[in-house]
Amino acid sequence: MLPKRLRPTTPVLCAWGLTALFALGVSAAIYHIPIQVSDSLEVIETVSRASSVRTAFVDALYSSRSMLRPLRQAQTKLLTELGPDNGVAYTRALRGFHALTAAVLFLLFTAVVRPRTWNDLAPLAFALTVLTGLHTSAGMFREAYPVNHFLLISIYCVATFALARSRGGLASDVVAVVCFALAAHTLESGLVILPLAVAGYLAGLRGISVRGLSAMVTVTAGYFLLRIGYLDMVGTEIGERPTGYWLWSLDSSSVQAIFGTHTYLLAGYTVVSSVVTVLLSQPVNGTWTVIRAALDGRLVAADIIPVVSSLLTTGLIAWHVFSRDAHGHRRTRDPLLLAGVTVLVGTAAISYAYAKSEIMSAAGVFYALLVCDSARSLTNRRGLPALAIAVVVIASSLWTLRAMGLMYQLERSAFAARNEWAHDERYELGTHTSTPLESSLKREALQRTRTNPLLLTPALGTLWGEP
Amino acid sequence: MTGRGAAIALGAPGIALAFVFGVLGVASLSGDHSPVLAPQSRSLAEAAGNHDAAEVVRRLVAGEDLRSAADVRMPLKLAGPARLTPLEAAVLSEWTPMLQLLIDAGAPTDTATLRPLRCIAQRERDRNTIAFLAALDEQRTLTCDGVVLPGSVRIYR
Repeated sequence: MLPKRLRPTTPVLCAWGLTALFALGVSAAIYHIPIQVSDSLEVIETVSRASSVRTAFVDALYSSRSMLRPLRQAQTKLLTELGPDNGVAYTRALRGFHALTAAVLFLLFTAVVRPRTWNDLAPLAFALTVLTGLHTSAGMFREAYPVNHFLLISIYCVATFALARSRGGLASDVVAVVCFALAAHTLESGLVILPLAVAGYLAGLRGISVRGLSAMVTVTAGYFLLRIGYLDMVGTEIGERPTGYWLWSLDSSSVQAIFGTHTYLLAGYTVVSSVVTVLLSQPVNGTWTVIRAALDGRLVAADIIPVVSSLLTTGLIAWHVFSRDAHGHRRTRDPLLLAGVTVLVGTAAISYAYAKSEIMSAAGVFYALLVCDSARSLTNRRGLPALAIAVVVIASSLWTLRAMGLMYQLERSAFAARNEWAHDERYELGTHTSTPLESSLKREALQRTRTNPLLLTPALGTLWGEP
Repeated sequence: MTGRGAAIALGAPGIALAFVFGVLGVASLSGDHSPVLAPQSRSLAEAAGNHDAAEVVRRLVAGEDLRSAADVRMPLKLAGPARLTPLEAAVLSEWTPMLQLLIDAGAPTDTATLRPLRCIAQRERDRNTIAFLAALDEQRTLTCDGVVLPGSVRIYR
C-alpha cells in the first residue's frame, strides 16, 4: 500500500484514464496500418542485408550527402531482429513499436501537464483534442515508416522538457544527454533539443544542470565534427525537394526559374511559413490552400475549420501569455512558453529547405501543451461573459471534429498502405517477387482486411479533407 | 457564468471523444478494423467499385468468382446499392488500373461483355475508361441501343 501522500487522487486517476483512452484509440488504429511500400520497403530491404545493428548504423552514415540519420536504420534493424525473418514478425515488431511510441507520447504529454485537481481535467481533455487534431501531428501517427522519426523527435523533446522541470540530478542529466544524442542522430530537427534545454535553464528550470548542458554542447560539437569534418556532408539544397510558395507548389525547375540565385528568399519564406502553420494551420506545406480554394470558388468546411479553430486557440495562448498571473507578473518568461517558442523557431529554421507539416510535429506538441496551460487560466477565472463561453464551445467543438478526423485519416492510411502492396509497379497481382521477405510482407498486408473509407458517407470524408 | 461553465464547455467534447476513442480502440484490437468510421467492402464487386485493389486481390486469392454480380454500395457515385459485376463496378468507378487488375486476373473481355461496359463508360463520359475499353474491343463501333444498363443506378452529378 502506497503512503497516503503518494496515493493518486480521483481527479489524477481520471486524467490518466482520459489519456489512456486517447492513447488506446490512436495506438490501436496505428497498429492496424500495414507497413507502407513507399519510403519504407527500401529501408527494410537495406537493413535486412546488414549483418548487425552496428553495420546498419555505419552503412547509414554513408547513404546520403545531406541527411545524417543513422539511428533510423539502426533502430529498424534492431526491431527486425526481434522476430524471425518473415512478414508477420516484421509487421508486429514495426507496427507495434509505432503504436507503443504513440502511447508514450500521450503519457509524456499528460506527465508534463501534471493534472492534480478537477480543474485540470477539462483543459487536459481540450489539449488532447488539440494534440490529436493538429495537422502537424497527423504525420507522426499516420506515416507507417519502419521507425516514425517525427514521433520519436517529439517524444525526445517533451521528455527533455520534463527532465528540465524535474528536481534534477545526475540521472536527469544523463537521460537528457542520451535523449539529445538519440534525437540528433535520428533526424536533423532533433538538434533543437539543445536550445530547448538552454531555454529551460534560462527560464529558471534546473532539472538539467550546467554539467548536463555542457555535455549536450560536447555532443553537438561531435555531431558537427562527424557530419562536416569526417563525412563531408552538406545541407539540403533549396529546390532539391518540392515545396510550397504562396499559392503554388514549386519543383526544382520552378524554384530556379523564380528565384535564380536568390533562393535565400524562398528559405526565409519557408521558415516563416513553418512557424505560421503551427499557429494558424495554414499554410500547409508552404501553400496557402485556404486562399487558393477561396480563389477557385471551392471553399469547403474542411478548409475553414482548421483555420478558425487554430485562430481561437492561438488567441487563447496570446491572451494567457499577455495577461498577468496571481502575482501580477506577465507570463512572457514562462518556461513552457520559452521552450515552445524555441522548438517552434528552431525546427522551422532547420526546415529552411522545404516546408513539410510533419517536420513541425514537435512544435505542434508544445503548442498543445501551451493550449492546456492557457485553458487552465481560462477555467480558473470566474465571471466569464456568455460570449466567451460561446467561443469556448465553438473552439472545443471544432477541435473535437478535427481530432475525430485523425481516426478517419488513420483508417485512410491503412487503406492506402494496404493498396500500395496490390498496386505498386513492382508488385503486380500474383507476382510475389524479389525476396521471400517482400513476398511475406505483401501477404501479411493483403490477408488482413481493412475498412474502406470510400464507403463512408461522402459528407464525412469531405469534412475531413477528402476532395 | 463561473469558471465551471467554461470548464464544461471546454472539456465535455474532449471527454466524450476520449470515450469514442476508447470504444474504437477496443473494437479495433478485438477485430481488424474500426466498426464505426468506415465499413468494409462486402463483395468482390464492391471492392472493385471502391478502389479497394488489395481487397480485390484478397478475394481473388480466396477463390471468389470474377463474374458474379452483387449489391454494390458506391457512396461517391450511387444514391443506393446497385447490382453490379466487378467489371461494371470498376467501369462505374472510372479507374482503369482496377479494370486492368480484373482483366489480368481473368475477367472476360469478349465483345458481349465489353459492349455494356462501354455503354456505361459512355454514359459516365470518362475518357480514360472509354479509351481503355475501346482498345480491348474488336468491335470498334459501339451502339448502345437495347443495352440494359444497371437499373437502379442514380448518379450524383
